[in-house]
Amino acid sequence: MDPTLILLIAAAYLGLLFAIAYYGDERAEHGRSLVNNPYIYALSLAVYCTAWTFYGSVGYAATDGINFLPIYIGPTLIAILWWVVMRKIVRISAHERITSIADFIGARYGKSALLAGVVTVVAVLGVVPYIAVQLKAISTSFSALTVPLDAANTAYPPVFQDTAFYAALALAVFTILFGTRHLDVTERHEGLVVAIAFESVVKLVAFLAVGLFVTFGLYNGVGDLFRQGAAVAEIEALYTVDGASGAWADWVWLTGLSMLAVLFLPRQFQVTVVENVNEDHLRKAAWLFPLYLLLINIFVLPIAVAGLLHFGDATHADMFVLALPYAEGHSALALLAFIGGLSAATGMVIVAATALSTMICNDLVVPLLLRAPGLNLVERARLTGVILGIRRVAIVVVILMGYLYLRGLGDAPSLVAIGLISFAAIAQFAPAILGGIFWKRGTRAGALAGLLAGVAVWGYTLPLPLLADSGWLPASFITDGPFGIAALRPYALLGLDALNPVPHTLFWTLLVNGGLYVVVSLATHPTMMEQSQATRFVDVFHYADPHESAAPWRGTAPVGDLHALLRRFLGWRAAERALHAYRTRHELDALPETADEELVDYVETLLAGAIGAASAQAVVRSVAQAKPLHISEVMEILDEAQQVMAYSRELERKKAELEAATDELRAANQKLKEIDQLKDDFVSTVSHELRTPLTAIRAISEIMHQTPSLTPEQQQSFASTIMRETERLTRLVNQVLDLQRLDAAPNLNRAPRDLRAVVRNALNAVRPQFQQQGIALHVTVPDDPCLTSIDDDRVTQVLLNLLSNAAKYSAETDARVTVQATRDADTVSVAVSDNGPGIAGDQQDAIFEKFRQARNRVGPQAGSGLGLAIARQIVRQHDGSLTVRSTPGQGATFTMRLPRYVPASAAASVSTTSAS
Amino acid sequence: MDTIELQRWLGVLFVAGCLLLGYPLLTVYSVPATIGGIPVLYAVIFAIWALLIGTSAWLLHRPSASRTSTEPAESDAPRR
Amino acid sequence: MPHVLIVEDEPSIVTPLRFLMEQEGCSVQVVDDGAHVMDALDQQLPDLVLLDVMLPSRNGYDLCNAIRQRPDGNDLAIIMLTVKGREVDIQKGYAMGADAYITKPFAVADVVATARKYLPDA
Repeated sequence: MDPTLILLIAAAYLGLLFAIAYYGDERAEHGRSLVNNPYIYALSLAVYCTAWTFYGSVGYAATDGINFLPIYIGPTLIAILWWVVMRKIVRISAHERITSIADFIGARYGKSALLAGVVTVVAVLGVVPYIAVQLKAISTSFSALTVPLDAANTAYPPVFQDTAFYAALALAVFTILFGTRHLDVTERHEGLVVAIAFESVVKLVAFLAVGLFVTFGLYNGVGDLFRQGAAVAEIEALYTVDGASGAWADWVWLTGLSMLAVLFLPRQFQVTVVENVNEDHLRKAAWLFPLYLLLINIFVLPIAVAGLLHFGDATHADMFVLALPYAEGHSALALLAFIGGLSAATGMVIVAATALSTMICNDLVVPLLLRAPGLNLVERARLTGVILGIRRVAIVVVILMGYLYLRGLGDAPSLVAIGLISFAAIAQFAPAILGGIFWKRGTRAGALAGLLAGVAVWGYTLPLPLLADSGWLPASFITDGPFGIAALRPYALLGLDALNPVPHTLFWTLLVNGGLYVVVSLATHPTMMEQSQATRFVDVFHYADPHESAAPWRGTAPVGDLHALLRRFLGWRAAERALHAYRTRHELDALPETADEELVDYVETLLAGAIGAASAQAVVRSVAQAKPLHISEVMEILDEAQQVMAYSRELERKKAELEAATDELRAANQKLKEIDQLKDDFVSTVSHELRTPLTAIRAISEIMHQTPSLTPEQQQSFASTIMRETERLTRLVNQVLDLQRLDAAPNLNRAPRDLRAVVRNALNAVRPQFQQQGIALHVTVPDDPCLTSIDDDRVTQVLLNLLSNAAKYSAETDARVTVQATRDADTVSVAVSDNGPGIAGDQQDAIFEKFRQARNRVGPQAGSGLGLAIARQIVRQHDGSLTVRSTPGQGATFTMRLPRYVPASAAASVSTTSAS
Repeated sequence: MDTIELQRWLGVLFVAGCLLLGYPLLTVYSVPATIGGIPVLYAVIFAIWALLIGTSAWLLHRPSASRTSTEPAESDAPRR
Repeated sequence: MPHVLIVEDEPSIVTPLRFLMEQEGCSVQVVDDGAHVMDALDQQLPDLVLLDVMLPSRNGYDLCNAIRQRPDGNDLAIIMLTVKGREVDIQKGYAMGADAYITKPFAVADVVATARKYLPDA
């Protein structure tokens, strides 16, 4: 086939992919996301099926038969558990704004930059060979269509004539365009996801088309194909699993390995977790994805059998998918297969490179730059550009590393072998992640120890022997062990030679990794930050709001600084949007000048989305001021047992508070009841006092109205009664109002006065009335002024009340009222005495209560009963006292005492005098 | 069926799948015979595979399985 | 001539009551303290007692009951005149033996009409 045509078609396909991705991004920008759809989501997960699946499965099946299936059965089985495991990871990542698997592990273990960095390095080590596989598949499939299979040159052409190189460049460009178009706090790439989903459709359709063509075009259905194959002994052997060669052990181990791979491969983590927009999509994806795997695998064995029948041996089995239709003259179908393979390869490279570049940038480069002395990254203005730049460079580097790996290792191992080596590297994340989301006690030291040891064993037992295969190391390294030490043979560590290389590695690495993780975790104590993160991860379903669980590190920071950070790392628009969202959520008109812990935490989480948890923490702390942890908060996060204790203590406290509140309420209720009773009494008394004069007035006026025959004397008498009762009503109403006012707000107009003058004024006012009633008045006042700070009018009112009471109750014959003013060191007082019947001892307090009149003091002019209550109220407001002293039958004496007023200068002179 | 209950059933299905598609049960079918022309092992694996997919889809999409609110403080609201 | 006893401590209410009863052609005696009621009854048994409730010394319910306990206590009518107008107060009045119960402020027509019911024809 014409290479130019193929190149054109490949370019057109990439162009179409680009258009789809662009369209997806456009839709996302306009809020009509295509990604918010479980089918797109499930299809994007099929990025799991790479060129390794598309070409490699057939190659694998052609030599090992059904043994290729565990790679897909593992994901099928673990997908059943997605609703349990993956949903938790997705939930945690949404809460913590996790951007990659390195970020996830780093964040879980106290936002450890070191751990995230190590994970990044391991991921790059594991994934770069995988990328190499894809590049190799693209170039091999290209040459399979352009040169005869047998003439295929194993020697690589110079770099600039190598299709793999140009494929690498094209993929790098595409990845840069869609993986790093903009910096998003959620690190999502909607266009990219739509393109990946499309690719998944293409590769499935292409593979099924080839499968159908082979089965039904070249043969008469599956049965016919298998029957023809069964005629050849080598082919019939593929139909079963050979129990003797340890194939069943491989089967079990590879099933387990692929379970871990589909959970933790960086590209899977990217599409499953980071790009997830709705965790409910997992529900459909959990069975749609296995269904996809089933469909894409159903024709693998038939194609392998047909290829073997057609080509006679498995030399080019990796290219059977393409070669079979091509050899049969179906160029269009071969081209479709080529496009399908291209889809599978590009999908993997794009997503993996995007994920790796995020990790390299956030978890490797930025933390290093932040720590680099003199660089002062935080101070730089526009970091968005810097970060995107780092990511773009990382993409190019990662893909070119894949290319270099391909060139360096030649074509020694098959596609599947390299893929499994990658898987085994990725499986090293399993203890740290699975332990991290289900076991709070896992520590950073444990995770680090396990990971480093696991990776070391992995490196020694899988990639290192490849170097021997490629001639970089002597072959005796594998057969005899380094320096002839048999126990260190990479494929038979400590003499364990019962397993094939990959299960062998998996056994040792998981043993070492998991074992160290548990042992070191138990032997070390987590820091406060680790404790907190452990709780946030393990108990993620207990938190409705990611910001609800308080971070143990508490600090405040100037909002201006935080704002500047956001602008630098996210860009102006994203920063404004984020802060606006915060204000809206908290219903704030404006942000405070100093951010509280919650806002600091919010900003840190936002930045974590852009540069990873560890870097975000470092950056935010550079502007924030730590606040020491309060002891109660320390208690809360120490560990689970102590948390329970804290809870129960809290309960106790709440209970005590509740009991106290209940008591208070009960007391208040009692008080209210009393007040209510008083109010009832008051109202009923007032109504009685009002009804009495009203009754008289009504009755008399009715009589006057109905009886024209009244004598003038009668009329006169009735009219005067009406007038008197009306006056009484008026007085009563005034006094009630008075009392009300006194109760509500005492408004005294106090000034120093000579009490003698006040008494004189009051006496002058009542003297005519006394004379008229024939009451004798005896007055005694001291010669010296009796200064007191009083409201003149109010005290006069009190005196008048006392005088009129005295007049009212004085003896009927020989009535006499005595007024005596006195003063002593602290007080001035006025005593008003009558010579009337007096007041019984048990009544002496009662007369000061509202509407109480001593029953035995009924006189011709019964008062309203409010006068003394008002008088005492007024005196009390002057900080004085009003008391009564009486012996029944011998009159009563009311005494008003007021504090004496001492001018400042006088006080000074007194103290000087006493000092001398 | 609440989320916890659903998770238990999924766990059961997972274990069943591991057993059905693993060693040693599959050795029973690893024989040079065919069903309708298809090698027994191949046919059995794909049949079990399809069965697992169907069962898990049925479990996850039963009307009552959509209720996850019984788990403490959990919401079904779309993320982000 | 029918005899009426007014038991009331408020002079301004005694005035109209006395006028009304005298207009009806009765002789009137006034007592302003609960303690003196029995003395007044001993002195001359009235045909009708106009009885206030809130009195010095002894309240009207008490008095009403005490009057009915006398051997001659049922030979006279008792009209209670009071500001206590709640249903329970009225019930109490009847329970204590009152013939009628009038709440203050009253209409003179009511008092006159009620009194006429219990006064022997003059």
